[in-house]
Amino acid sequence: MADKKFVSGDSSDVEQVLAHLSPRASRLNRDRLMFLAGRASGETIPQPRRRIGLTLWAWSMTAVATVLLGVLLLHHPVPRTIHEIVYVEKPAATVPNAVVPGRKAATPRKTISKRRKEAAKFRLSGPLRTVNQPPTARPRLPEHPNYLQLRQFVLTYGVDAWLPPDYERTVAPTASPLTNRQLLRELLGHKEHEREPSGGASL
Amino acid sequence: MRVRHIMLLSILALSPQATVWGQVQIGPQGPMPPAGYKRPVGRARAADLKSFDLTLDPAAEPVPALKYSFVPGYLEQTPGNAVSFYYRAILMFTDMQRRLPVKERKLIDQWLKMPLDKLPLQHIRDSLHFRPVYEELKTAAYREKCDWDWRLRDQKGNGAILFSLKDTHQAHLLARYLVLKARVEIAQGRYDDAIETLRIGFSLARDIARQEPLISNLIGISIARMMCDEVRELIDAPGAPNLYWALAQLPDPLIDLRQSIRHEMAMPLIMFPFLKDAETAQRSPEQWQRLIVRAATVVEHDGTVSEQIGGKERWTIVARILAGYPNAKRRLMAAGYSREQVEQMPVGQVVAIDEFHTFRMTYDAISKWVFLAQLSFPKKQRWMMEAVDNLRLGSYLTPRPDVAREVIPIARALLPIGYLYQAIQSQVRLEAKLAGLRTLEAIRMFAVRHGPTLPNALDEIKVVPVPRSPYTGKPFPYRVQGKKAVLDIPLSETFPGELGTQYHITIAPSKPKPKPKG
Repeated sequence: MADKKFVSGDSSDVEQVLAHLSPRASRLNRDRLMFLAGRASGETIPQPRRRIGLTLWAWSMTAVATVLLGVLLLHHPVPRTIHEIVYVEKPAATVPNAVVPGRKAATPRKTISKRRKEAAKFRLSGPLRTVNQPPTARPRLPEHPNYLQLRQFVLTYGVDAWLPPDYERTVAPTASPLTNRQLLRELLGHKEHEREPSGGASL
Repeated sequence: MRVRHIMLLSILALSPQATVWGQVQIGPQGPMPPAGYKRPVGRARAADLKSFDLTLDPAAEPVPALKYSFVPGYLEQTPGNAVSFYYRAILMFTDMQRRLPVKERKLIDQWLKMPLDKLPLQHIRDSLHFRPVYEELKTAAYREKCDWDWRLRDQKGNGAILFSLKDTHQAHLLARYLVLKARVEIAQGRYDDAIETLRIGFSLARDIARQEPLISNLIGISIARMMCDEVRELIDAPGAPNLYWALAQLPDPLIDLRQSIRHEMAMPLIMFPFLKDAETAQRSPEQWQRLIVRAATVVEHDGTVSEQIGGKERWTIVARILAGYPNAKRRLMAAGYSREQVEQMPVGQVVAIDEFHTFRMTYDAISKWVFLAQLSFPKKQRWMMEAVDNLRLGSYLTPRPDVAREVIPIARALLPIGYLYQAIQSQVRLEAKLAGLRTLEAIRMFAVRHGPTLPNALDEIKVVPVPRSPYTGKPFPYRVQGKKAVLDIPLSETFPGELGTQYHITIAPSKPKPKPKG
């Protein structure tokens, strides 16, 4: 309510009208206002936009690659047979590898085939079995191999790898083999110690 | 955990798998390339081939055409069996070799690889006393028949695999001396003597291959291959006669593996004869058990087994047999036996009959393809490998006792399934080598008719038929590069790592170089 003491007779009509108005009660909730102000102060101020495109791209590609690898891992086709060519030392060959002079001898390729891991478990009597031989090991046969062991050895390493056990040794030199005449003389000479029967020569 | 961490961990977890998988996918390699891969046919990779530079003198066929031959003449053969003389030769050779110092033996290896013009001819003549051995070999080669009379199929039990092959092995070593002799003769220009030596070498190869075991056949193939290498050196020698018809007279195939493959496939029945009459034989359960356990033990030990089987091992084998018995029963009933019949049979008999059926199934599935002579080698190989895969899928060849078709893994352990097509390939390789040599001789004949020039293509050679590759049925790959021609003799189109041969051919000028005088 306007204080009439201050309304003088000299005020305008507008002033008189305004004097009769009474202020409305405040609609602001002070507590809420304080709360909102506090929360606003806690939020990060949006920074100016930096160059994050590269990071996003890298993560996106990685995510795509991960998904792709996962799918391929689950669905890759399993071939029935896969052979891996592993180059190992070839046994010494006795086949003449003659090369005309002037031309460099081709380096002999050394190959052996190996099964894939599931098939390699099969204990087959054949080259389909995984051959776990060290590349430079000279193949060895048992001292008295039976036919099955020999067959496997020959078919794995080749006929040329089959050397006789005494190949590296030589027999101590003995007398040359006797000819027929020498042998006969030896036998006759031995029998000369015995008396000949009176009928004639024994031979 | 943030999303980026999860993604990073996923990548780390999956990358090794992907790497391994990527390696497994490396190909195409091996006899069964991945579907869709087309290997270039008729073209071998240079890195896989042994190369030879040949300077060929033009040479027409000799007059008369069959003047030279690598087989003993029909009228030159003498009655009798060659085997006795082969044994004499092997005996004398063994003694000769044992007396040779190791140093000299190693020299022989060098002499076999040395260029002809560098051979120390006098030293070789002084070191080796090969003449007596050679005479025995020559007598053997000219005999009408060669019957080793081993009758390995009559061996029983382990006798079949304990049969010694030392004499066969010595024959292989002996062939090297024949090769050396031939080299000396070629180096000295004594071509007629060299042809005679090679004739004896080819006879030795064929006669050794008449023995039953597969190893003997492979040794025969190896000896024949050595002789083929010397034929090549002879063809390359100045003024050498044309050997096209000499090579054509050799049997085709030179070494036939079929008989030895029959023997190998019959090996299980030779070693375990009780399988043959399992359906009809009357034996007590204990007898059956003894036979079955022994068979399983022999198979387990690759043929080496002592008479006494340890208790623990015995019970392990018995347990395995009993574990496979229900499946064996089921298979017999599926094959037509009634339940009553099967239940009345001893366990050992059921297992034996089942094993016989399984063994025959496995044997026939693979070996039937061997006997199709008309089928080309690559097709034969594919069929055989498909048969092996089918057997594997049917659990015929799996080592897992819980799913394996065999209670006693006789077929899996004893049949040379994996080696069969490798052995056949050796035979075809030899045929390819021989065909390649005849192709060279055909080129020499062409050079006589058309001046000392090379044909632009093998189709241009009309003077004699040009041999075909046993792999493709077509002539070998051939191309002219300037004044040289390149002839490829690939050994295989499906085994990329196998060696082949490449001839770089030059035709010598019109006047042949003079023969060397040794």
